[in-house]
Amino acid sequence: MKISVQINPPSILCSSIMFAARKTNLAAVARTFARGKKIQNKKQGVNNASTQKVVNQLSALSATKKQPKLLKLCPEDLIKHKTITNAWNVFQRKQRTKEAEILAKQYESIKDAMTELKELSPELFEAALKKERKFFPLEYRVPVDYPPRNPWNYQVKKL
Amino acid sequence: MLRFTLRAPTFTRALPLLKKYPVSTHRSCRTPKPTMFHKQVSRLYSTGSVQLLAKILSTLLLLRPPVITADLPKFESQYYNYQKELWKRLMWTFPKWFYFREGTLAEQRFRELNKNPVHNNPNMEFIGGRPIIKHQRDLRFKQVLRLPKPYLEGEEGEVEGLESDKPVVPNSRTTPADASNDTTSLERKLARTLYLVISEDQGKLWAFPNFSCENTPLHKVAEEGLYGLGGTEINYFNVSPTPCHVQTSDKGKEFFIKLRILSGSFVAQNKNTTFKWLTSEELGEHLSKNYYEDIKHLMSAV
Amino acid sequence: MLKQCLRLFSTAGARLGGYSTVQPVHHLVKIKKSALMPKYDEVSIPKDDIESVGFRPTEIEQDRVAEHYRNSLKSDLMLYFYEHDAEVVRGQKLRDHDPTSPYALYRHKRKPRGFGRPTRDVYPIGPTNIPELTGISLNLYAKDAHVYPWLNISTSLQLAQITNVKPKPVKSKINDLSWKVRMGKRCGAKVELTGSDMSQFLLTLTELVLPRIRTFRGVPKKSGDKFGNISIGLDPEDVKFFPEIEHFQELFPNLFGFHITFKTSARTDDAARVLLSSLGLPFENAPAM
Repeated sequence: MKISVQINPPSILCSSIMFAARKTNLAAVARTFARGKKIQNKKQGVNNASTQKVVNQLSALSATKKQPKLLKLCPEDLIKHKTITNAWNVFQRKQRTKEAEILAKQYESIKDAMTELKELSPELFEAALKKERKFFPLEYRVPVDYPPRNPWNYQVKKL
Repeated sequence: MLRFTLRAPTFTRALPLLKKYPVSTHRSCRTPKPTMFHKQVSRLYSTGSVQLLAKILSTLLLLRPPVITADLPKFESQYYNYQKELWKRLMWTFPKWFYFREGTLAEQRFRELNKNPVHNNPNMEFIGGRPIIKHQRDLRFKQVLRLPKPYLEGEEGEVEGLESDKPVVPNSRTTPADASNDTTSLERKLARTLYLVISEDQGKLWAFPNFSCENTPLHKVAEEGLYGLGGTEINYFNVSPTPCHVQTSDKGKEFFIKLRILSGSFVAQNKNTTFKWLTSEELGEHLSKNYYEDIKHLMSAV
Repeated sequence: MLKQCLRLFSTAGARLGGYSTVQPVHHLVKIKKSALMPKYDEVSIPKDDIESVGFRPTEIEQDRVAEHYRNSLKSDLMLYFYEHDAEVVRGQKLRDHDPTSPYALYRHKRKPRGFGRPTRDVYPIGPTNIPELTGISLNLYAKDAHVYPWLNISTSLQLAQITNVKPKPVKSKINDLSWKVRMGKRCGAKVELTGSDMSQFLLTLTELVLPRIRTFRGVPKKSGDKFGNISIGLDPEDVKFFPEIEHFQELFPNLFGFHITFKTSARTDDAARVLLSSLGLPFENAPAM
């Protein structure tokens, strides 16, 4: 299964072209503070070092002034995005069904093998079912992005 | 013809059929579901000579698991790239003031790496819309962060200069074994699962290692056979004593036992034995076509 | 049969349907009309749609844990768990009362035998129900937060720093004034991880944190809730081995231990342990290979 789709990312990612027609943000200009002055730090006692640390932590966590502008895609970008997402979903679905089919085949294989073994030799069949309780070894690792300096470990040392 | 016999599985009717499709090779005949019929036939002959002919073999399916992540096809890498860019656009502003306190050396290096966006000057006219600056980020665009690192960074593969001021470079994903196409090396094709095939006649016929088994459990035979073939310097993981496949060949019934090699080296103990570590596609070129079609589903896609 | 006959004469039974049967029929389902205002329309857009306010891309890079699971582990686990001619092991279910007694008609069902809680049926593992890691939840309970409420900021930030997910507050459920515990007061934070965040956290834990904890002897053998979820706890001293915390130690003067629960789709704890061992978690009573 080969999919050769050239993804052209929508222009939101490349430049600000789609925002070109926007007017100035009036709300930001006309904003006034109706409740008067902002509370001064000194009055609150924030000059205390440990309190300042907690205030800093809160500022790192909170969403205030940190949320970007909402995405407003122009119709063309929206269509592009939907096409990309659809292509991805189709690709994922195909992959998933393929994997499921292969797993089902593998299961049938195991089942066939065990059924035949049962007919041919009941002793070997018993031995093949006798599972020792064991875990997967730690050396059976999750693959990494870049290989280690020695890609393969030639030393036999069981953990 | 077959359907009739299924309805009336009598001894006399099964006999001529049995000559046509002998039990030991029933997998090679390509009827849709021959097992039912042959089970019945083999039960008729359960103590006869047919049973004795089917020799039980333990076939070793030795896998080298992938060491590095799979190579991404173009479509996937492009999609991930697109999503990453969207993610950067939608991420909250990085709280620089928290991680890099003002007046520290780290903050200075951070400022050198990350230039401030264009200031929203009220006396200027912006063609693309006014910048919305909060915490030195233009909220309209994606955020590109470059963090100061305690080491130098370099591209994959470049190694130059002194040991001390050498940049940290990730190792190449291809190895010398790939360059020389050394099929006996365990270091080839790190992103793929490799399978062991051996040949006893100097590379004319390739096959998975086979061991005949007499009342010894299949997985024990496979494990001992592996040590006999490739030496005892192998650390393997036996997934299960259960066989994962059965294949009827002219030698007998081959029961596949799945082992994974985790470390150690495979050194052929017998002079006449040659071996190869192959990916699933390469297996197709080395095994006979029918045989490969039957076992294809056992192979990992990666 | 008896039940149905009784129902004809019972007045209580008619009320169970949730609406009045007196004509004209008035349905008792309440509708919040304020939620139908047009300004809330954008809330109804699903969050994976780019037009939604809460849109956030999830598949932003190659997920090597998921890839490893799909490519290698899944077929291995299926072979590992294969049982020939296996049958469904029925779990303990709630039991009926004596059917002949009219007094037991609308009583709650009796507790199951043994364990005291209903348990699920255990199906033989086939190609469609191979155990899978479905999520990791981190639960941080800070007992001091009852006295010093500002600690809640530190707890949230610590989890956010480690997992890159915004934590949810944990609130106490009981009143116990001798422990200064008040119902509904914040006392910690929790995070539910799925997808790539989960993989990232699992890798950090198994590759960078657990190997450096000297006292760690593997996941305790008693851990597990009988339903395929395995938990471990980390001490405040262990938490500083997370690279995200380690490099900014002066920013996190107060560290808190937390509980990590690995949620799996396995039906038994043993199956869950095997799955987690295949994902790189060491276990206390791991038998020699």
